[in-house]
Amino acid sequence: MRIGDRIFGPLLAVFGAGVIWESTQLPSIPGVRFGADLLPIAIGAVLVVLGGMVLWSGLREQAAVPAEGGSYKGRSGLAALWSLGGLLLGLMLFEPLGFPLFGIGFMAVMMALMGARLRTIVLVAPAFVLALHYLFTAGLRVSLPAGLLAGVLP
Amino acid sequence: MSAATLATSLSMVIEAHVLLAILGGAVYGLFIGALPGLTATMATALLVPLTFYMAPLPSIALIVASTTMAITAGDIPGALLRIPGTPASAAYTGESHAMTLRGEAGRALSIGFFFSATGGMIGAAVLLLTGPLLARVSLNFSSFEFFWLAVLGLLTCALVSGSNPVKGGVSLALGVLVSTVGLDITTGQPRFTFGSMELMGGVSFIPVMIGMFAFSEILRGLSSDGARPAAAPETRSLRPYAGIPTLVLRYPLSLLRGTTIGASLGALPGVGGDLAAWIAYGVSARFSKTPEKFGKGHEEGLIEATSANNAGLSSAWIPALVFGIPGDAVTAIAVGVLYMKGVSPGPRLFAENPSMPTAIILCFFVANLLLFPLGYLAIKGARLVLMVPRNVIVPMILVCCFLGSYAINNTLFGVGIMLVAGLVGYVMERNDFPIAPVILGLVLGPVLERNFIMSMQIARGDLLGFFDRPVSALLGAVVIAILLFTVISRIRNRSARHLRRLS
Repeated sequence: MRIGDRIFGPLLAVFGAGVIWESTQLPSIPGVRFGADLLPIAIGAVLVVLGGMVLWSGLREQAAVPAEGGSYKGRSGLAALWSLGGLLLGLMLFEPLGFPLFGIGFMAVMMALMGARLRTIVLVAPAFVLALHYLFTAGLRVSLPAGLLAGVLP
Repeated sequence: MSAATLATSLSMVIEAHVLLAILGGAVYGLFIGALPGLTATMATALLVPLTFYMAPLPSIALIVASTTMAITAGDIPGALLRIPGTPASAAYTGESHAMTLRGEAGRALSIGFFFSATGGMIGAAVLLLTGPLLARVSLNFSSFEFFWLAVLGLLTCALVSGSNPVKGGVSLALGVLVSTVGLDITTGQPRFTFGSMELMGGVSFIPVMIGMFAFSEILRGLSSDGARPAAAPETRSLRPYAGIPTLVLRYPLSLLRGTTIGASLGALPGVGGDLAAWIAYGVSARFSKTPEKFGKGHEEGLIEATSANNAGLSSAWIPALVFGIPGDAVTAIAVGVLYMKGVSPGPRLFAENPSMPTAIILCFFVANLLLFPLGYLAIKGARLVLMVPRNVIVPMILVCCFLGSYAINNTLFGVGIMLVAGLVGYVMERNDFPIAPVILGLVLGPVLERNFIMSMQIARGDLLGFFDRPVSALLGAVVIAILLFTVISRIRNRSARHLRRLS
């Protein structure tokens, strides 16, 4: 997603101004001269100035924004969508389903969208996810939700 | 340090149980460091229960070996998958990954392991002689000096990351801004939390790093301009350390300079470790005869930064050992373990039991020495990663991204941060904004803010107070000189371009 400096610059400046405004809303503490708002206001000001400089350099470049690549088409477009959508779905399903089921499902769909053969999917996805699960839970003692497989997995 | 102390320390280190602890820690560290999202701090924390059953020196040797190896092994996913293991390795991940894409993964990893080990050993040797002195100097630093050091690190990073310093500055400012999210470090006020309890604790750099480097790379790889294979086939032989002696002869100054920067900056509590590699990379780019090659898979910056990384790692232990003041989470855990074993780090330790701190520094030697054979195995193993088809490795990386972001705090909040950071990183890179400065801004933001506020309070708001102390004034002058030099050279370049166009 190429936006171009002529748009990015003003966006940054507006964002910087927003940061300054939000920082000024922080309640001041009596007796504290240099409070929580000092650094964010300074960064906001820096962003406004740098946004202006980005806009300036965008305006100096005579050529239009190059429309090179970066598009998502066909299967790889679907894979890109799944890499984001699938992980967003994971935010909701990770705990109820558990890591093994979610991981295998996510990985299998992703592999299928990227053109992997069914045999590879069936062999690799469960093996990799279960290996990771045991590595984290048994090896590193990081607790991961087992979800629907709680009590089933050894 | 006397020869007798050195001999006693050496005899302590070469005992079988100490060597076994170093070997075990090194293998464990290699394993943890190579997994995206797992950190050296996490590796150390997981080792603490094991140390309950061990004597003081093997306990610390275990921690030393695992952190040395984990931090160096963090370069493996950095080079192969573009997921840096530490904020320091983010300085040169772009460089090493560019080599992988060119079909030189083995060479990138060889440079990483060889120069990390060499830098680490030279750094440890320097520290054996100058450690206590370095620690004394660093403890004389006040908030003013730490503020300027943080500014110097951030400035260097903005200038060396990419061809446009303005865009580097934007990335840096965004990183520092993200670091302000959460409870304010001076007043305890919630800031930019928008009522979220999770945001009160701030934004951890691990999910941001995973998202910005790995997830954004996958999104780009799936687009039409990323339709090429994730990595070119290894065109050179994957023979570990092939061609390294030539590099040592070609860039001896980079090795020595990186080691010196690492050993000096690493001793600064809280700042050193992360800054050393960045500043070394910046210095390398500044003084290189071929600066135009930087960022495109050039060995020079990689050599200097990796040497600094490991040299800084050992010197970070000096303030902890000499004064009992840990500078980072790893040394804090180690100091805790030492106390638990009845060994009190501090000046008295050097007076009453000098062989103990010397033995700990010697453990760094052995751990860095082990980097050569274990690195050999890791580089050989890298072939396996590169042979995995793209439609298998990409889903595997995504699952690792998810798990790594989750495991840092065992909450899905980290995954959310990773996804947002990935999208932001993708948009930034598509618009030529470098992403590495975001990470350094995020890591150094609290250091910058704490020391700035403290200095302003001491100076009662007078900015000239930042130039009152000699070292602080010197550092401030360096920062101003770098800024002026950058502005003048840009104006000069622009005028030259304008004149060329006219003629």
